[in-house]
This record gives sequence, C-alpha cells and structure tokens, in this order.
Amino acid sequence: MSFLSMAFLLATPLVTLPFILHFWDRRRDVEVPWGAMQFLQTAQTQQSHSRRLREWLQLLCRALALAALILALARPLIPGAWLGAKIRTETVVLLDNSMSTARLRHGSSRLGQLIELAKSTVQAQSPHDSVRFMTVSPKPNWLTPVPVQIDSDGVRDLCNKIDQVAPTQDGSDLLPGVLAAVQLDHDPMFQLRRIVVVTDAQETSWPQDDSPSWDHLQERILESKIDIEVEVIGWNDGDARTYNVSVARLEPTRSVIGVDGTVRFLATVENRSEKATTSIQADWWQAGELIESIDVPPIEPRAVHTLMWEHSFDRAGTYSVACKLKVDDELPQDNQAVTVVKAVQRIPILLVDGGEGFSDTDQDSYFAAAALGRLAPSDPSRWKSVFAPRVVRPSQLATMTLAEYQAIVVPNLQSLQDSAVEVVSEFVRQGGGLWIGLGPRTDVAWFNDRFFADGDGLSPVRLSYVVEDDDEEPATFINPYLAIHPATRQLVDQDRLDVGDVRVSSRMRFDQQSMKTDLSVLLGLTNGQTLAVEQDFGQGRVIVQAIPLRLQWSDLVQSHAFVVMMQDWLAYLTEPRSSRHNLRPGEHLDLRLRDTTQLTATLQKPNGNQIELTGQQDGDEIRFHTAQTAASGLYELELGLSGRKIPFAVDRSPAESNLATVSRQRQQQIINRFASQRHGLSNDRVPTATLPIWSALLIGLVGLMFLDLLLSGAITRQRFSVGAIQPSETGSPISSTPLPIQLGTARRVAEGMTPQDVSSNQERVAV
Amino acid sequence: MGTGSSDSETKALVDPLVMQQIGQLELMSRVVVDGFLAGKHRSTHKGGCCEFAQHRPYAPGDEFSRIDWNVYARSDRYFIRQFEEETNLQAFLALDTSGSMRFGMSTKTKYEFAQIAAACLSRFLLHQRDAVGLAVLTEPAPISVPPRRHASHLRSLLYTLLAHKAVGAGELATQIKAFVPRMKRRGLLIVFSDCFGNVDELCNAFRLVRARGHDLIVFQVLAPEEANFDFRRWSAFHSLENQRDRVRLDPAAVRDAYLRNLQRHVEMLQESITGIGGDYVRITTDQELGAVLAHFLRSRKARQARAGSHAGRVVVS
Repeated sequence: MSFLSMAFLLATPLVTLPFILHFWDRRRDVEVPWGAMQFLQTAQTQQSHSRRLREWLQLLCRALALAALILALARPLIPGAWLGAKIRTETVVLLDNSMSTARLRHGSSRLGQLIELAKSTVQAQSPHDSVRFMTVSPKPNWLTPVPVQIDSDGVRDLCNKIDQVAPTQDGSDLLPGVLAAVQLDHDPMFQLRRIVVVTDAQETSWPQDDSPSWDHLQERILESKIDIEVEVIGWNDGDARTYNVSVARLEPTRSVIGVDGTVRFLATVENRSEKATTSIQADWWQAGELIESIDVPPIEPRAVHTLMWEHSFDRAGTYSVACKLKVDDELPQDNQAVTVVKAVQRIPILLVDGGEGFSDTDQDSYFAAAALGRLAPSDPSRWKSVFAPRVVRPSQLATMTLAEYQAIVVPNLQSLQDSAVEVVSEFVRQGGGLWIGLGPRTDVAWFNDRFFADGDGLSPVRLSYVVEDDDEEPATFINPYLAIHPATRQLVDQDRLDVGDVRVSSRMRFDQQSMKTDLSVLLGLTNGQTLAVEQDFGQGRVIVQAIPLRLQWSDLVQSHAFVVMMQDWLAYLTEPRSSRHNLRPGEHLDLRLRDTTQLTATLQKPNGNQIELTGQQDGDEIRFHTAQTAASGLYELELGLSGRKIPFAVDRSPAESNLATVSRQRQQQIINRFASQRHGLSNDRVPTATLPIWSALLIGLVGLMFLDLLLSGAITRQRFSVGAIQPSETGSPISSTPLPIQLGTARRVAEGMTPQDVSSNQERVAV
Repeated sequence: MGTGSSDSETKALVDPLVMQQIGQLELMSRVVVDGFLAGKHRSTHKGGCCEFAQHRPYAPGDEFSRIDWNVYARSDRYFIRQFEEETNLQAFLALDTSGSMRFGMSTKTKYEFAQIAAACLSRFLLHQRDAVGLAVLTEPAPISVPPRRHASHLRSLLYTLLAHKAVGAGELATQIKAFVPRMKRRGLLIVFSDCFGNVDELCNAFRLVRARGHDLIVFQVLAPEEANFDFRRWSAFHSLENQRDRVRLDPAAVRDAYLRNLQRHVEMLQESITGIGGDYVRITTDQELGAVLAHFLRSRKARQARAGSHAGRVVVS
C-alpha cells in the first residue's frame, strides 16, 4: 500500500483521542456527598453489560471514524493485484509538425507518415487506457485538453483531429513538450505514463548542447509520482542527400519610408544542398500581387546569395512584400519569405536651434535640415525626406506639445530650462527619440547634472572635457567599424559612403568611468574613443554624439554619409513610436491607431485561424495588442468590418530549413538518455497497478458517523427513559396519591367503596 | 440542649409565609384522640355536655340526672340524653436526624426543610390549642419533648429542633419503635424523614404506630437531585451516613437503575402507609412548603368531613 499524501499519517495518534477523552473525563470526577446510597449501590450492580458494550462500541466507532478520515486524507493506494486490477497506462502522444516535416520525398510528405504513426499509436491502446495528444510546433499545444478514453468514438474523433494537423513554418519545441507531458497532474487511476514522441528527427529539434534543458527534464521525471516511459518513434536514416533552397531572410533597409521613396529589400537565398542550384527565379510580390521576377544566379552548395530589390510605394499604407523562389526542392515551405514596410507621407520631427540671430550656415539646424531636403520647400523638384522637421528655439520646448512629433534633434546642445529637460525626458519615456549633438556651447557641468544625473538621466555617459585637435596626433577620423549596430548598417558601406573620411578635429570626451560595459556604441573614432552612444530611456531612445551636427569640430555635415546618417538614425529613433510590423516569434503585436472608432479587430494567423481583438483606449489612441505570434508567417489584422487589413510579419527561423537529420549515434544517445531517466526511477521496480481507496474510506467514515449517531441515540434514550421521581402534586390530594391507595385498597374499592370509605371503616375499627 | 440557639434562629424556623398559608386551617385527627381539654377533636370520654348526640332508652343504673325530662313529659318514657364530648389533640412531631437528611445541593438540606416544616406545624397546632410534643429520632435513643398545649411551649420545641443536627447513621424503624411507647395517649404522630433504609422494617414500625391507635402522617422529604438524579459527569458519591461508603460511576449510566430503585422504594412506602390508614406526603425541598402544607391540610379536612358523614359518630351519654 502506498500513500499520495504521506504527511497526513502523522495524525494517526489522533485515533486514540476518543479513548483518551473518555478516560480523562472519568478521571476528573466530581465529589458528591450523597444520602441515597442504598439505591446507588444497587443501581451500580445493575448496570447492564449491554449498555457498557454499546459505550465501548461507540468509542470504537469514533476511533475508526478518525482513522478512516486520516487514511482518506493520506490518499492510500492499494496494489491492484489485491483486487485483480491491471496496469492502466496514460499515453501522451507528441507529434512534431514543424516545417521540416513538410518535406516531400517520393511524392509523399514526411508529416503524413508521422500522422499515420501517431494514429497507430493511439489505436494500439487498451480500452482502459487514456490518450492525450499534443503538437509541438511552434510551441507545445494540447490538441486534447482532457484525456481521451479509449473507445471507438474517442479513437475515431482523435484520429480525425490528428488528420487535420498541418505543418507550420517553425521549428519544433520537443523538449518543452516532453516536459509538459511529464508535468501533467498525476491521475491516480493510472500507473504508467507513456510519452510517445513522433518526430522526423531533424537535427535542430534535438539540440546537442542544451544540457540545462536535459537536466531539468531529468529532474522532473525523477520527481514524478508516476512511472514515466519516453519513447521516440519516426526516426529515419540520416540522409545528407537533400536538395533544399530557401529564402533564409528578407528585410527592408528601412521599415518606415516616405511615399514615393525608394526602399531596398534584401533577400538572403541559401542553398542547403550538396549541389549547386540551377535556374531559379525569384518573384517579388507586394500585397499578393506579383510585381517583378528576377533570375537568381547559380548558388554553390552550402552557399548564400543576397538578392536586392528596390521598390517604392505611391500611396501611404502598410505593405507586405514577399520574395518567392521558383525551385523544385524537397521543402517548398521555405522557398519564400515575407516582410512588411510602412509608407507614410511624413514623419514630423523637431530641430532645436539655439543659434538665433546667426547667419543661415551658422544656425544649428541648417545642415540637419539640408540633409532632410528641407532648405527649399517651394521647389517641388528637390528631394525631400519623409522626415518633416520643424525648427524651434530651446526656450519653446517647455511649452510645446511634443506628442505629435516622433523625434527631437538638438544639433548643438546648450543649456535648457529645467522644465524643458523635464518635458523632453517625458517625451522620450513615452517612446520619442532624442538625438543630441554636443558642441562648444554645451555646458559640461550642466549636462552632467541634468542629462547624466548620476546615470538616471537621458544621457548614458558623463562628459569630461573638450578634446582639441592639437592634443592628439595624428589626425582623428571616424571609424565606422568600431561597432555593429542596426542604425549604422548602411554607414559602414565604405564603397558607397565616405564616413571613414570624416575628420574630427575637436570633440567632447566621454568619461570612461561612467561608460557601462554593455553601453551601446554607434560610432567610434580611429583612436579608439567613442563618438556616439545610445540608450533606451523609458520606451524611447536617446543618441548622444560627441560632435555637433554643424560645420564645427568636424566635417561630418559636408560628407555624403551625413544624409544617410540623418535618415538612418532618425528612422532608428522614431521606430519605437511606430507600430512594429516585423516581429520575432512570440514578440507582442502592438498596433496604435488614432482612429478611435475602430474598437474591434480580427487577426488572421498564418495557419488560417482567426482571433478577435478588442482595442483598448490609451490616451487619444486605440491600442490592439496580442502575444499570439508564436507561429512564423504573415498575419493580417482586419479592423472592424472595414475590410482594411494591416499586415504583420513574424520572422521564420532559418535553421528549420536545414533538413539534416540526427545521426544514428545521436539517435542512440537520445534513446539512452530517456532510458536512463526511466531506469533512474524504477530500476528494480516494475510498474504495478494500484487502486485508490479513499472514496471507500470516506463512505466508511459516513457509515461510522451514522452508526455513532444511532448508538448515541440509543444510549441517550436509555439514560433518560426514566423520568424523575415527582413530588406529591400540590394541586391534588396528597395522601391519596392514586397508586398506593389503589394498591392498598384495591379489593375494597372493587367492592364499591371509595378510599375515604375505607379510611372511615378503619377508624371505626380502631375505635 | 437548646441553650445554644438564639431567639432569632428559633423565630426563623417559624416561617411567616408558611404560617400565613396554613394559619386558617385546622389539623384534625381522623381518629379519636384522648385529650385533657376540650378542643376541636372528638374525645373517647363520653358524658360531656358540649354537643347533643342522641337519646337512648333509660336502663337501670343510669344516672337520673341524665334523663331528659322533657321527653318524658311528652312521651311518658325515660330517655337518657347523650352528648359528644370534644377534646384537644396530642400530636408528636418526629424528626429523622440520620446523616442522609443532611443532603442538599441546590436547595436547603432535607433536615433544614424538615425543621421548618415541623416548627410551622407546631406553631399551627398550638394555635388551635392542641398539645404538641417533639421527638428527635436520633441514636442511641430518641429524645422527646412531652406534649403541652400552652403557647409558650413552642419556644422549647424550637430550641430542641435547633439543638440537633443530622449526623451519623440511624435506623428510622428502630427509633420509631423505641419512641412509640412514650406516647401515653392516642394521638397524632407526624414523621419527617427521607425514609431511606429497609422499607419493610419501616413499614412494620409505622404499622405498630397505627396499631396503638395513633394517627400517622409521614412526610417523606427528598432533595430534587435525589428525585431526578440528573448528573452528567463522572462522579464519586460518598455516603453522608458512612464515610467509608464511596462509589465512582457514570451517573448517566446508572440513572435508569437508580430511579427505578427509588421509585420502587417510594411506591412500597406509600402503599404501606396509606394501606394502614396513614397519610403519606412526598415532598421535595425545592417545593414551596406553605403551599404543600396548606394543600395537605385542606385535603385532609375535606376528607375528614366526608368521612364524618359516613362513619358513625362516637357518642357519650
């Protein structure tokens, strides 16, 4: 016999409680001086044995009731062999429906074979067993939230559900799936849990170096209250002769562009085969419409080729752009990739100019505005950036409504009012971008006090002093290779840009001690010093640059790279305020709309499922938010019934395109690992059927309580069945109490005389 | 004896409330009693001229003075006039002083209750010019106060009542048998006792009292705890008469048998007393004494009145 809650057995001594209370009650008797001892002594000898028997029986009942309660709480299991029970198995089937299972071989898909294996596993169960079913891609997902009893209807329904399982575009989460199966609540009706993993044994599904996950899984198996047996089926022989070409990555150079502005898409095509590709055509699609087809040059085995496609959008909107390869390979699912770009008319930003009264070129905002194409607004032929700047004075910042702007650029920082610093800080906290250029008008002490604020301010670094050109030899240039950052991805293109030629004659030196080790650096100098750093502040971003955005201290603003730098860095800074449309798996989808009339939306997922979203009011915006983005692919959010669909793309893991399977040696290692875990639990023990008996104990408890009530009633009736001796009624003749007189004079009364007559006769006799 | 009792204690025995309830009632002996003085009771001495009873023919030897000459004048025959003569009652109040009378938990002890009852009845009897005596039934021999009819005799009765305590063992039957010979004249014996003991011997003693021609009233005084025995917890009962008698038991367990035994005892006692023509009154100490006595006296008087219409009067010529 075993117990599920052994701790309750500590209460077993309580069984003696009725006896202890009984004897304790007897010991604390009361001294009573008594007159009528003759009746008491006689009564004591007359105390019936049956009554004593009933009292002891009652005590026994109570003790047994306590014992039954304690045992029931301890949840005992008796060996099923006592009652002839068989081992009942709870089978958990995990089906790998990752993208790799969609590979075609000899006209049939691998997933179809796995589904047949899973169905045969289900159908092989005994009638008294149960089955749960789970798919493991992209995340473990129970197809049957409750166990399915093995009968004809249950098996048929489950097989129908299994038939409908489709491959995803993601990898499989096998170990977490096994862990979820191990951590299922233990149903005491079952003595063995058999976890069957049906997988195509893709190499990426069984990470070799994930020891913590294996160790964690092993611990959970050892801690399990039920014997667990893990079995992996569906292995196929390792076959390196696969042919698969995939679009590993598709990304635009900018996710937000201006209308009619050109955006460049980069598609990474990867040949995962052992042979070179031939005659592949890449089709570029915009919102489901084929735009252009281009030929992909032959790609060597295990090589990568990057396709570049430039496109512009003539209307504002959010567009999905897909690159699809026309190639006959084993895995068609990875022959395409999708991304989303947003075309807007303008992105409002602020340029803070402290050079009031200066000439045009001496004004702080002159070169920044020039880089954005805003010097001649009346000339429509001139190029204009999507960023629409508004030039303001530092004194205006404190009283402005900054919410309508996406970013603030301070080309040459000078002291600001404290209230302005507060407003700007709040603006960044809410998701705005801030670009600070330090220059000769920057007060170092004021900056460190207000902007660094001991590490809690907008600036991630403290300033030391101004470094002049004379202090350092040889001349210092910008080093674009000092750091790799998304905002400088184009700047490092030395073939087309001249950022490496920008000489920095003076700069503000950052305090090295204040720079954290994980500080994000955008640009550096050839002398190893840092030129620009950035940090997240609240929901927004801040860039601090050691030189001003004007023709001072450097010739940066005269370089070609300055225009690209302005565009890229502003795009980077304004990104938090824009809705992100390209997500990683599991990253929250978050859409903010100024149209407050749209309160509901429908999200269509890559697998065709739809979920309803309800917008939440957030200030003057409506916010749609969901975390159900685990599956890769294209999502479309339809707002209300308008038919307007906003696309979102979730990146696919390129590793899933690797169709290499685990080697035989590795397969054996995995099997051994599961086997060792099982043997760790039941090395010398064969799972035995056990039956829970606490229900029977509770029924027994109720029966004992009922018997106790009956005995109590019987004892009480016996105790108080005889009424008290009543005194002579004061309201009736006292001396003629009926019973004695009738007894004494029964005969004479029967002759027609009253008791009084009898008394009178007695008087006369006495006389 | 009696010296240690104060006037206040003796006055306390005569409960004014009790006297108020029984003061207007009369305790009439249902049998003819011998008395020295004319009172409310019929006397066995005939020839008084208090109340005309009947005429009878003259017989030789009769006194001439008893001839009713008026009748002779009308009928020319000699008739002798006969009269009922009234006498006073000689009553003895007997108190059981065995240790069991000391019992009392929620009320007065049975002995205190009996003391008050005896004192009130004494006062009542003296008030109706009856002679009242007292018998304290104690070991080794009963102590008696001779009956007197004057009012000042009450004080000595009360002193005697207060001078004795209920203590030790005692056989009520033996003491009654020892006391009865002291009652020279036929009268009334009122016994206050719990009547515990051998019921057969007790009934024999009462039968002896009745055989000597005495009227008998037995007040069986019980405590309410004795009558209902409603104890719940385990208890150790020790005897008030014999300290060595001690029993530990579960009262609830023996209540049934105890009450049956007690019931049988009181029934036998009641049957025996009423069977020999005595009066039996069972009273518990939580009852109102005045009401009990008043009811007893009223019912006794009523029964006596009914008995008078049936039984032949004792007349004297």
